[in-house]
Amino acid sequence: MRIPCPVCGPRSVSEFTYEGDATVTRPALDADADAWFAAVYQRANPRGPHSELWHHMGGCRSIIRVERDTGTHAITGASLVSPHEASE
Amino acid sequence: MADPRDPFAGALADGQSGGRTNGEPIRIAPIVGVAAAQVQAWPGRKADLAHSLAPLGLTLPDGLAFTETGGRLCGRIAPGRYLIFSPDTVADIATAVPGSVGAVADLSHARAGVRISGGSVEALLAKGAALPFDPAGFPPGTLAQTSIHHMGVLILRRSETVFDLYVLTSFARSFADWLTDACREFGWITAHPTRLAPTADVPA
Amino acid sequence: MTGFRLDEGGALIDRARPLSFRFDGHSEIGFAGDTLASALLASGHRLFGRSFKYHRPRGLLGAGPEEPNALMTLGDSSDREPNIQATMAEVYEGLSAESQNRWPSLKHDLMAGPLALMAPGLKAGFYYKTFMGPGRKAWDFYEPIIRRAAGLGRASHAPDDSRYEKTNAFCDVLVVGGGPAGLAAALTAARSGARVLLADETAAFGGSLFESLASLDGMAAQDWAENAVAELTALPTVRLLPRTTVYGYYDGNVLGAVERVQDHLAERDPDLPRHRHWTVHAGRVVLATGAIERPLVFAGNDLPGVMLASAVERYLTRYAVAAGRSAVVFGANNAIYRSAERLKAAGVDVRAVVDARPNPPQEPAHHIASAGIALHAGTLVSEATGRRGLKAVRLARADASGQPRDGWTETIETELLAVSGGWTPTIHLASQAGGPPVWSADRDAFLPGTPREAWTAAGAANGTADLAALMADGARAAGEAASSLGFDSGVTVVPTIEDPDATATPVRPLRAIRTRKGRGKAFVDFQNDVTASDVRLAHQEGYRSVEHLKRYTTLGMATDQGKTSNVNALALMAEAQGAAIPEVGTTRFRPPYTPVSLGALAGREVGAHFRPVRRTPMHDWHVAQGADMIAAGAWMRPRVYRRDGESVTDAYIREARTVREAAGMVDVSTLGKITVQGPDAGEFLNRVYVNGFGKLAVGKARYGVMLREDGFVYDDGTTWRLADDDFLMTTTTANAAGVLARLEKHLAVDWPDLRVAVASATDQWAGLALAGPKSREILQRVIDDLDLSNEGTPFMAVRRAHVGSMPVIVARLSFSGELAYEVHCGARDGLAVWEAIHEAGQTSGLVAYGTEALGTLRIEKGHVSGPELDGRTTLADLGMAKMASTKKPFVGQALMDRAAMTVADRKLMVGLKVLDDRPVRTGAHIVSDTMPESVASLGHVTSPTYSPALGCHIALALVSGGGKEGDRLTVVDPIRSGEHIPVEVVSPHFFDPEGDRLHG
Repeated sequence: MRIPCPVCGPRSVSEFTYEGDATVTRPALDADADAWFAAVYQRANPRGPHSELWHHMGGCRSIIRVERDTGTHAITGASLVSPHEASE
Repeated sequence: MADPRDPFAGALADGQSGGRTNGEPIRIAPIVGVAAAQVQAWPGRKADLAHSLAPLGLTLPDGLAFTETGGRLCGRIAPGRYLIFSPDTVADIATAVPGSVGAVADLSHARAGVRISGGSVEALLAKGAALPFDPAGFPPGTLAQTSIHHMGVLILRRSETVFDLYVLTSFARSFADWLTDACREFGWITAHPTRLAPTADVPA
Repeated sequence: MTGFRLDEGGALIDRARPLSFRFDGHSEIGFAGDTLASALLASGHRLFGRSFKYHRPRGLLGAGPEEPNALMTLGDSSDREPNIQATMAEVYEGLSAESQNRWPSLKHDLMAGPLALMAPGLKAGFYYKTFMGPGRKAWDFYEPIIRRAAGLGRASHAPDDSRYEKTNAFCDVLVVGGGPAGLAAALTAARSGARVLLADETAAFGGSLFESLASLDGMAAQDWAENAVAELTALPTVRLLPRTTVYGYYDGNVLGAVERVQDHLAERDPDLPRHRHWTVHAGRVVLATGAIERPLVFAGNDLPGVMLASAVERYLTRYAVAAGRSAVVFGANNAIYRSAERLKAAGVDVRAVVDARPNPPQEPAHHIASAGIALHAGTLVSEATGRRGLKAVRLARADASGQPRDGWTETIETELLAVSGGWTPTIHLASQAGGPPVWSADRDAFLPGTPREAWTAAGAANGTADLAALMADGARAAGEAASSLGFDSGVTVVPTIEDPDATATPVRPLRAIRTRKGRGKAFVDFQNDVTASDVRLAHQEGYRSVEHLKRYTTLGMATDQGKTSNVNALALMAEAQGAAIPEVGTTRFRPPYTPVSLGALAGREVGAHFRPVRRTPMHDWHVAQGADMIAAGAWMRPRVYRRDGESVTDAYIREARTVREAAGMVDVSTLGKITVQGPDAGEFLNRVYVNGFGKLAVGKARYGVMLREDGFVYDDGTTWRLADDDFLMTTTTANAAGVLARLEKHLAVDWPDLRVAVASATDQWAGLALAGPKSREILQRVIDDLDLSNEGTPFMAVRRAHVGSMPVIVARLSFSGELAYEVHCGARDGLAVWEAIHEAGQTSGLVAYGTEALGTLRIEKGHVSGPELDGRTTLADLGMAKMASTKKPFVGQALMDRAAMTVADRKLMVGLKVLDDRPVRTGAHIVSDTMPESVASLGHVTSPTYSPALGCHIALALVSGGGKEGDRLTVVDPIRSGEHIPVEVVSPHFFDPEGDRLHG
């Protein structure tokens, strides 16, 4: 599988580390246990379109959000997750 | 006796060679005397960073590329992040960048650099990394970060036949091992250690 | 003697280069360019192997990668390789080859007789039915015998010392297959300016052009192919890869291929690889993979001498070998007429053409008749007979359904029977990267399904038969591929073709011909010895799905993966089910298309090159001192520095003792170091550590623990404040990369508003810890610009100084519990600083110590490390609950107090003192003292050591409920030893619990 890093271009999946479901937002650190339990453990795990985070550890070290179909591996989009703009 | 400061510990000492002898060998030279700093601008402060570094003669590149001014290379390695290589010191860079604009980390000892040149450099690099290495796909003046044999590497293309490669210091000897082994079918010779130099002065 | 070499011809052989090789211990001859198959065939060999299960005598069926029978073991000792198809192995001077699965010889195989008698008990799935008793243990007895009797080749046990390499290639258009469609495609793409890669599994490009009688652009087909190759070779944008099999098609239009670089050479260059693996990243792919001819299924069809008609022609045209002195040709398409004429022209006595069609086409029939060859229309070969090879064929008339009719019959003696059961497009790559194949009734074949990757099938792979059409197909596919990538030359390469073979061929599907009872076996899968009756048996026993048929009968599961058997089997299955073939479907196509050497997949990642090694700047010094070096992840670290006669244990005890009595120094360069900089760095550290760092003073270090977000302890280390906005975080060696990744993720995803920059500084710094009562005086000898006393450098202080002219950072930290200083400097200065301090300490008895003594010292103090931070422990478990700040939120806070993490019987960290003189081991279990036979584990030993300070064995451990000091327990280790070792629970802070020595 090749992942289109917005900074480096398409690269082998072996350069990336998977960081899980991108739709999960962590609550505030002092939020209650229930809110954190949901964020840490509960996942929809869909078969089909999935929005997920990958960390380009073997390249630019950016975190990117990838739209991937978990059934076919087809990747339809990738965007930088960063306070910086991709062009900065 | 190997220079104790040499991260390659003599593995790439001048005058070594190996591999096939019936063609143009790849020349390998350690790059010595290089200081390095990683500079990170805070979001939206790129212009301010450029402004801070301009008095030092440094310009910030766009894209995954590097600029060369006053003997220093400034490479953009990620949005807002730059790696500056200097033939002398990077102390002035840390003082030039205010804390409100960005942060400067001295990584002068953290990288070991090697220059490879010759007609077969693209074929050599293709063994290690799944990137296009042809001049159209990887033009001179641009850079890439990837892994070669499980070691992170920063690759700068200095010219059509010359690449500078930087790995973590602790990997230097393993990287030299990989390099000379991968060069067997082309033949290789080590050249005198080289200093950081502007591309125009880099021998082909 | 049957096969023979023709006096002239042979497109691939070089008669000026004869060579000799060995087969089954005998000397043989051939020419450069021969395959093992063609050379042996030319010498009259008929017997090439013994079948897998029944040990039946087998000869060549084909001429290429579809060959199921002629499997050979090539080479000897370390480069011995079994199961190589004789049809793919190029001969070289001195080659050594052996046939397989026979004893004592190919001709006289002792297994053949008994197995023939046992055959009825060896049908599909026999191991579920026969050999089932008496008792369950019976199978344990039979299995080894059955395994020894069956099989293919035997692998070598010697290490493979060949060199293998891997590389990557990027191209615009990859063309798989160098036959007519592939060459047309490659030329079209190349002329448009695209970067082209053309791969063919054989040594020469041309494919079916070698056999074609057509003229292309006024040239002989073969000459046209040579010109095409010359043009492609001259272009710098084209790479030709002969002897290269593209074996797998993966996501993202990435394909795997293996190039057999030197297998065909007598003398191999040690600087070149034997096999080279190519990972091809293609913009577009043209699959011009051709088609494979199908054999026919009838009684005796596996006898040596029964061959595919196209293979017979290949041996004639490419190698100038006639496969027999007499021949009969059988099929239901026009190709058999060309085969018959070719054989006749080569001097073979063609005794008949047997065409199953009742009305064969006039022109070819006429040619045959004028050549004096008997033609039997509407006729089948119902049986082939012979003992160790074909002797004769029996004919019968075909009824309307294509089955033999009773009545008329004729027997013709012949050495060779060339059969053509139709053509199966080679759709493996297409199916790996696309939807299920689609059945075409008029082609009588499965065609490629819907692409899932960017490929187009062209030529015979697409079901096209006519030469002009298939070349146009290839050109068009490549033209579209190139222009979709922006290359536009408007040129499609389609030669002007005059083809005598180009009469439209009505294909009559020829299915399995029913065997009369007792008239021998009809084979479907030759390599796994699966017969037509096995397929029918599977149906009878209720296996309806094609996937079940495959696994129950093992059809299609051999090294040839059913290339010549799949469609025939599906036809049989369909017939049994009363369904049409498309309803039966196909099994899943998976890579590799043909076997791939494991060496090619490993490349150079073997032996010393398996994984890279990380070395500290002091590495060579440790080695020169005779240290035992040990792997710590990718790092090499000194374990102990043994002196004469010392064991590892002796050494670490001496080293640890010396540290506490005088001084020791240990290389800690491998510690993870991360720069944490920026206006919000303090706030950031407050969030990731359980304890506070925001208010840490400049010039101070603090020990910190970080939790995972699920509340369990993740890592620990010290973080130093070098300036207001500048911290240096240290982590454990093992978690350095993980912690940095986690920090980066927090900054990018969770807290993008924080202005913090993090970077790995592990390689920037060399570090050593100098510990022991004499550490201060030793260090002061080499540092002039820093007062190392309690006043000048208090405990936990961080100061800048110089050793000689080299800048250093001195941090007064102690993992050992002794008076200690960590000295960090730029990595390039590491060795010099190390040596300076080592030299300065010799008069004080300073020794270097390694990771074993490092562990001993920290265990004596009850400091946690990796074995305690195993991801299952909480702060409270480790006695550090009080570290957690109540004043600021931190990662893991919300989930760290969940009920199961605070129950009373949780395993808590304790110290254990061993009551006799035996060591305990990491992972050993702890049980109650009173019932050592009890299976209830109360916990486990995490960090054991011999304590020089206490004079006994000790350990840190995790014990349910913790236990009271003084409690007696037993350590048991049922897997590694049967010992029961008595221990006493004590405080984990075994030595100097007040910490007096730290503040010396």
